[in-house]
Amino acid sequence: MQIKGLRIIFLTLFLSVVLTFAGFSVNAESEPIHGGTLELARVDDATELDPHTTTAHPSRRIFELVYSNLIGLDADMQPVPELAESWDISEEGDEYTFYLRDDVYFHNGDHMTSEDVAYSIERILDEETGAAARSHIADIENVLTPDDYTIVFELKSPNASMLLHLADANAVIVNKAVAEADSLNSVENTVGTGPFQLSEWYPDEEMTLIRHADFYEEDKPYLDEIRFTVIPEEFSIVAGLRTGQTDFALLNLPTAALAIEEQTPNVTLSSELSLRWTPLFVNTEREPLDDIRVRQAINYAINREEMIASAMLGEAEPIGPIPSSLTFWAYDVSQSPFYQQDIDRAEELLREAGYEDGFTISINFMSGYEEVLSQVQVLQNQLEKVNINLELNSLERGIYIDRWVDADFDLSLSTNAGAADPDFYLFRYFHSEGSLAFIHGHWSNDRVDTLLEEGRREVDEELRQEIYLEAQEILIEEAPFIWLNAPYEYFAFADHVKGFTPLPTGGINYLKDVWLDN
Amino acid sequence: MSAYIIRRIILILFALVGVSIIISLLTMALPADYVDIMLGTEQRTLTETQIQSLRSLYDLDDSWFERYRRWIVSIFQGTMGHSLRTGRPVSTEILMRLPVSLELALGATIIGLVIGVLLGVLSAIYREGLSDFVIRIFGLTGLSIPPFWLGLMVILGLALFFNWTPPRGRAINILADPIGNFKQFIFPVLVLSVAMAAALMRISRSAMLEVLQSDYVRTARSKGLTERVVLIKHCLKNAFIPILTLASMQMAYLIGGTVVIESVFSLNGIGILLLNAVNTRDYALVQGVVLVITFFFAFINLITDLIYGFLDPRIRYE
Repeated sequence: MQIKGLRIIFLTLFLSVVLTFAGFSVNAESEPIHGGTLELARVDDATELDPHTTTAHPSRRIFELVYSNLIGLDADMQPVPELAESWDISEEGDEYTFYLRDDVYFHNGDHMTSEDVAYSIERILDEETGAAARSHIADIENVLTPDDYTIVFELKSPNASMLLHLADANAVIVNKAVAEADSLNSVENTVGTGPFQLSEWYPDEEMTLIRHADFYEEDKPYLDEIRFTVIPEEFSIVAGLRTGQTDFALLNLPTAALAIEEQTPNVTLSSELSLRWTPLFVNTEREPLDDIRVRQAINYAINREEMIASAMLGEAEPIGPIPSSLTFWAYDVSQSPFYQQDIDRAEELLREAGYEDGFTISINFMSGYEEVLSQVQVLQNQLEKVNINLELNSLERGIYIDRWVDADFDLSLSTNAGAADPDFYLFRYFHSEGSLAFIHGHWSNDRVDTLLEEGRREVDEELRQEIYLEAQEILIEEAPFIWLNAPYEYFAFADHVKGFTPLPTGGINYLKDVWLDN
Repeated sequence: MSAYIIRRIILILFALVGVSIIISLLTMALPADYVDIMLGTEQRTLTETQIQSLRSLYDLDDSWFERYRRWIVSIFQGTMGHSLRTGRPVSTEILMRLPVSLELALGATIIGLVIGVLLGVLSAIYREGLSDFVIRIFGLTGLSIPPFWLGLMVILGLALFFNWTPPRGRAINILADPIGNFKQFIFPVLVLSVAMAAALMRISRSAMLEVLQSDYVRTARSKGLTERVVLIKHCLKNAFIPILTLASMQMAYLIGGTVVIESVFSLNGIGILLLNAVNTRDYALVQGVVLVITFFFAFINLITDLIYGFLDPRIRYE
């Protein structure tokens, strides 16, 4: 939309018009206080409410508060107890046993037992449901409920990623009785065990969540109510934060984040490096991209820092196959020669491949996203220096998706959803049997296949880390994708909002710990 | 006269039928359907069976004719079909948003008319004078400023200098809480009325200039009528037809065309409703909103034509 193009101009105006003082606050540790309404603003609203089929981020934010998972994730993306107090994994890694809490109640007063858990997992696995998480937990073969508070998953083959996938917002536990009776896509049937209960929804306007009094964590949540307001224009949200109309905001635009950082006193901005990732999808079946030397030349021709500085106001980090927010698993790209711009090397590789006169390829991207367009323009500029002419195909969302699922492009750029698990970024794309291997035109590498299979099975974290580092090194060199950067997740909140823990998933699960110091 | 109105209403019905066919063909022709958009690039991680069961859940497998038939039947049942996203009747969705759009459009038109005509008349009377010059600069500026920019500036200006932002979230009902409604709507209405006033000022100025030179004005003046009577009864009434034409066209356009202002001020009119519906391929909703906008266009045109006759008795309806 045209609105976005002028944001930078606008920001400059905004910065120059106002003089403010950097607000500083003393964070005295004090006891949480109960009560109050948190006014939360964001740009888009939930789409639908069935937690197993709705993958849209704005909906997932609601599921995080209304439902619970067997296990949760802490700020370092490590598993923590949620509905399950503890769990055992068999030696071979093919049997998971979860010991459930016995004090969990649904919003409608129903007592939660292993029956609900078993039902939820089976609902996800049932193809008729159309659940998004199915492919991640499809290794579960049998679900057993030895007693009311124990649940056992028997796996077809060991899967070290299972825990993390069970913590996903699309793998939450639903109420068996409610789900069997009716569709879950309604306010009344949104019956979870989470800290907040959905009370009212006016689509695209407002959603109200109220405190779940029987929430299993003692004393929590502290807030009586959270009101989600949809304000499609981010600078308008910034204005609301400034005047105190909004207490807490979810933002996407670097420009809006900078406006808060520099111009809005009494508002804290938390920038968390995201699990989302922006690569260049490469069609390795098409000439000249089928030639590894051409792909490597592109890698050498790109200057990622310049791209981030000029297209994203410095608000992103270069990444390898696994984004840097997964610190433990990510390959340190600053060591890789492919991440140092080297025009001579790029030209040499193109000459070897027989393209010294250059060539023309096209890039697909979704229209309406300012940062995406700027990145593509910088890219066009950088590739021009090695005689690669980049044609820009700006596509409407639906057309972009259609072309993507048919792998109908030379290059394609988009920012994609992430997960807390290394396997998520690799297996489905780069294993020859991966469900998304079509996207790069079935590039494959035997060593990578072996590594990704081992990575799935390996329960020892240190060994697993080595496996994934090696796989990433091969991937960077072979370049079936050309990885660019990861953006930030922005949470902005007024100084009287206490106790929030941001997550790289962009999740707001920890609003359960938040209290208002008025 | 009544025969004329009946004939026009029949024509409007024909237009609506035509639009309904075209819009339902066009929505079918959109690349990607509701499920494609919902699953996005993840759709290849789902099995065929999974995707098929989602498609049939949303009735996406039926032929065009079947969908069109179902839609027409639902119009007569009063629901206009159901939104795929919320599952609520399309008519409910539209009725919830329509008051916002109507208030924005009507408010902007009234304020735009008052200010625009006043300035236009002044500018024509004092032609080539200082006030004419200033007013024409306003006209040019008003037409050139993008409303979304002005809207943002207003919001930020209010926040910075008055530490206040208009209420956001749900639209406040004008009958239930007139003051709250006023706080919520006054600024978006003013922003929209700037461009409206600028356009109307330009057209009233040129229409007035033309009328001021006509013979009957000279006659009226030589009869010894006061300048005020000459201007209001003789000039303005005659100059009003082009002004009215433009104002009604603009108003009809504003009913579905305030997306940008809706998004800056976080008001949910049918503009945003339509935009979101197109983006997610919520077919029944797209069709319903387009039909309603078409209806308002036709309806406003009809009313305008009737007012013509009132302003200029020479215009006859047969």
